[in-house]
Amino acid sequence: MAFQSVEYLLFLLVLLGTYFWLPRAAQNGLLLAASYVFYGWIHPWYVLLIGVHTLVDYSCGRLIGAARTRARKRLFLTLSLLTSFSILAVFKYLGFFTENITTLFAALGIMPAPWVITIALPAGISFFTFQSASYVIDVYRGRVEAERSLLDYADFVSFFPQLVAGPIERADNLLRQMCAPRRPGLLQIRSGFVLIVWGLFEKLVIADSAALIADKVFSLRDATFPVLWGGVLAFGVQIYADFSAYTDIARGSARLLGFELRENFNHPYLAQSLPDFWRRWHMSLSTWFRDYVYIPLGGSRGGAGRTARNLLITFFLSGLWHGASWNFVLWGIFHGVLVAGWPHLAHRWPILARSGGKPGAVFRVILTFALVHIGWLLFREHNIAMIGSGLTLNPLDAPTADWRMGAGLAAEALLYGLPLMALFPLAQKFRLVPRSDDERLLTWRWTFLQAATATLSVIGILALRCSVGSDFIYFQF
Amino acid sequence: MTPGVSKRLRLRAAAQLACVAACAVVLPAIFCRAIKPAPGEILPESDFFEPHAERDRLVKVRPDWILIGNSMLNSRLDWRTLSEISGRKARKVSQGGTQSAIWFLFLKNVVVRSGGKPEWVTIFFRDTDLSWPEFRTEGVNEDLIRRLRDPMEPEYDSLLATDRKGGPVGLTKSLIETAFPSDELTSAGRRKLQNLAFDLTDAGADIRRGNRRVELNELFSLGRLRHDLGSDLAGASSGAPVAGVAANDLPDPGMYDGAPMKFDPSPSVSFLPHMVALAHKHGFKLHFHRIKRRPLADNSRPDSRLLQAYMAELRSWLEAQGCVLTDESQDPSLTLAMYVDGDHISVDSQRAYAENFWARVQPIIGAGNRTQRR
Repeated sequence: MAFQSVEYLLFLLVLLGTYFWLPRAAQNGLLLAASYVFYGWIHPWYVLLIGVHTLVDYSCGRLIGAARTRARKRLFLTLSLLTSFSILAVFKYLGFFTENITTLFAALGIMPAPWVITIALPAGISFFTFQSASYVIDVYRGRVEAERSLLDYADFVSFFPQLVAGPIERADNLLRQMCAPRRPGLLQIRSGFVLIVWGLFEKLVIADSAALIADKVFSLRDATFPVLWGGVLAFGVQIYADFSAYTDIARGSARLLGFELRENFNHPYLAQSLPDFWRRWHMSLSTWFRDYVYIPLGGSRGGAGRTARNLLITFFLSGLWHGASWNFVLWGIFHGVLVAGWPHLAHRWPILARSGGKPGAVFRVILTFALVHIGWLLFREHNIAMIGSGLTLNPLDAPTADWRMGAGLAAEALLYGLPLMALFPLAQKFRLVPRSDDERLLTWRWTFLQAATATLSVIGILALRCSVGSDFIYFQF
Repeated sequence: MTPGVSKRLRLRAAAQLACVAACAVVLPAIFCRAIKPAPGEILPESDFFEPHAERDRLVKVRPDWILIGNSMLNSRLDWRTLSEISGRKARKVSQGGTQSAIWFLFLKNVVVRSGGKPEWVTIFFRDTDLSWPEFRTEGVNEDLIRRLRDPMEPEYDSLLATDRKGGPVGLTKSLIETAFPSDELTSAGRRKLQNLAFDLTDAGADIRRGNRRVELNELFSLGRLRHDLGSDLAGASSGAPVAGVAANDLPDPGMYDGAPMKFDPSPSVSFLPHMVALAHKHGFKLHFHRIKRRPLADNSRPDSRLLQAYMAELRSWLEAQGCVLTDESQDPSLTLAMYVDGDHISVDSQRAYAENFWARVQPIIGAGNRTQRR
C-alpha cells in the first residue's frame, strides 16, 4: 500500500478511529493486524516471511537472554543471524551470484550458458532484516533486555509506517515505546498531520517531477555531458526528496499513533565532506553499519591502514545492501575510498578541513555535492558500460543547444527541489521547525506557522503535482 | 501535552489542531476555485491528448478511415503517407502508452461522439493487449482517462470496478476531485515553472520557449532511446526474444508480467465486445491489426503455442462478430533493420512499412476514391 494512495489514507483513518479507544495491549494487537494487512496488501505471502523472521528472532532473543554461558549466547546469536541473512541472501543475492558465477563458468567453457534465476524481492526485506538483527545483537551485547511479549516484538518488527523503507529502528527506541502506555497528545497529532502533508508534497511534487527528468535522461543512448549531468542532478533531487518524503510520512503516521521515530536526514546536501555527508544521509542505516559492522571490525582503532580497510569493507557491504548489482558495489566502494581518504586529503589540502571561513565552507559544500552526484551516476545507472562512457564524456564535444538543455533540465529539477533543499534548511536555521513536544506549539503564532506550512504544501501539490507517479525508490531495497 | 495540563490548555490545543486542519483543506479548495489559468498558460505538451481538440479535428476532416492505437501505431504510420498511398482520408486517434481501456474511450468518446461516419476503424495492437483491460490504466494514463471519460461510464466502470459512486476508494477519490478541481491549475503551474527554468538558462540567447520545448522533444525522441532499457518494454518479464521458443508452452519472452494468455471475450473481462457493440450501433466496420514485435536476428518472431492458440481464438471470435483481423507478426519482410527501439519502427522505415501495411489491408479496406494532399 503506497503512502500517497487513497487506500492508505482510508486505512489510516479507519485504524485511528479504532485505535484511540483501546487499551495498550489491544492497541498493539490492532497495530499488528494493521501492519500485516499493510504488508500483505503488496503480496499476502510476504506476511509469512515476516512472521518467520519475527518468530526466529524473538525465540533467539529469549534464548540469548536466558543463556548462562557466553558460548550458548553466541550459538543463538549465530542461529538468528544465519537464519535472517540466509533468507535475505536467497531473495536478494542468489540470482545475482548465480548469474555472475555461471557467466564466468560459461566464459571458461565449463558451462554452455549462464543461468538466470529471477526471484521476486519482497518489499522492505533489507530494512526489517536489519532492524530485527540489531535487536538480537543488542540482546547479546546486553544493551537491551530480551523482550517477553511476542506481540510487542512482532509490532516492533512489522510496524507499518517504517516497515518498507525505514527509518531502521532500534529496540531501545521503538520496542521500548511498544511496551509503554501511550496516548498521543493533540500537539503530537497536529505535528504528525503537518509532517504527512509535507511528505506528500516532497513525493508528489519534488520527487516525481525530478524523476520525470532523470528517467528521460537515463533512457537516452547518447546523452552528451551537459544533458547527462543535468539528469544526474535531477536524480540527486529525486532520491533525496523521495526518501525524505517516505521518512516524513512514516514519522508523521507514527506520531498519529503515539510513536516517535528517529530522523533519517539532516540536510545531506549541505555536508562539507564525504564523512559529513554520511552523518547526514540515511542516518539510521549509516549508524547501523557503524555499530554492527565498522566498530566490530575494529573501527578506527589500529592505525590508518586498518581504519581504511574497515571503512572499505563497511561501504562495500552498504553498497551491496542497496542492491544485488555491480553498480551498487561500485557506488559503495567509491564512497568507501573517499571517506577513508578524506582525512589524508584534508591533511594535504587544509581547505578540505574546517578552514577558509565562509568561502571555504561554500567550496566544501559544492565539492561534496559534486562528489555525491558522481556517486549518484553509479547508483542510478545499472549498465557498467554506460557508467564508463558517462564518466569519460568530454564537455567540449557537446553542442551549445545541449548545454542549454542540460542547464534547463537541471534548473527545472532544482526549482522543484528548492523547498526541500533551501527553504527547509533555512527554516530550521531560524528555528521555525518545531519538535513535536515543543511547548511553543501551544502558542497561536506557532499554530499559524504550522497551518501555513500545511496549507502551502497542499496548494503546492495541487498546483505542481506530477501526473506520472512512481513507487518510492527505497521500496526496491 | 503532559497529563497534568489543564482543561483550558487542552481545549486550546484542540482548537489549534482544528484550525490547522481546516486551513489545509479550506484554503486550497478556495485557491483552486479562485485561480483560473488563461488557456495559453496550460501546458501544451507535444504528446498531450486533448479530447475536445481531437473531436473538433475529426468533425472538420471527416475521415473515412480512423486508426486507433499507441506508439506501435505512431511509430509505424504517418497519416499523410497512408492517405497518400491508400487514397483514403485516414486519420489517427492515438496516444503512446495507451491500451484497450483507453482505446475503448477513444472509440466511444472521440470517434463516435465526433459525429463523423468513418467507414473503417482500425485498432493496432500487440499480442494479447485486447483482452487485458486493466493494463496501463494508472500513472500518466489516469490523467488521460479522467479527461476522456464521462462522469458515467457504465462499461468502463463495471469492467474496471472503478464506479465512482460506489466503493470507499472511488468515493474518496471523487470527493477529493470535487473539493480540489485542479487539473488546469496543475498544468499551468508546471508550465510556469518550466518557463522559469528556460528563462534562467537561456544565457542571453533569445530563444523562444516554444523552441526550447521542441528542442527537448527532439532530444527525447524515439530514435535516441536506449535499446537495452526497451523503453516500451518497461515491466516486461524478460528482455530480448530468445531463439527456439516456438515449440514451448511458456509465455513469450518480452510479454508483460500479468499479460493474459487465455482469450476471454466476456463483456465483464474485456473491452472487445463493447467496442464491437459500438461499431454495430454506429455503423462502422472494425478492423484489428496485430503488429510484429521486434524480430530476432533472422527476422523471425515465432509465437509460443499458447499465443498461437490465443490468436486462433481471437480471430474466430472477431470474424464471428463481423470484424476483421490482420496479422503481420510472421511477415519476414518486416526486418530487424526497420526497428529502432523495442517494438517501434524507425522513422526512416515508415514509408516502407506503410506500403507493406496497405498491401496487406487493401483487399479488406479497399482503395478510397479521393487522394488526400493535406
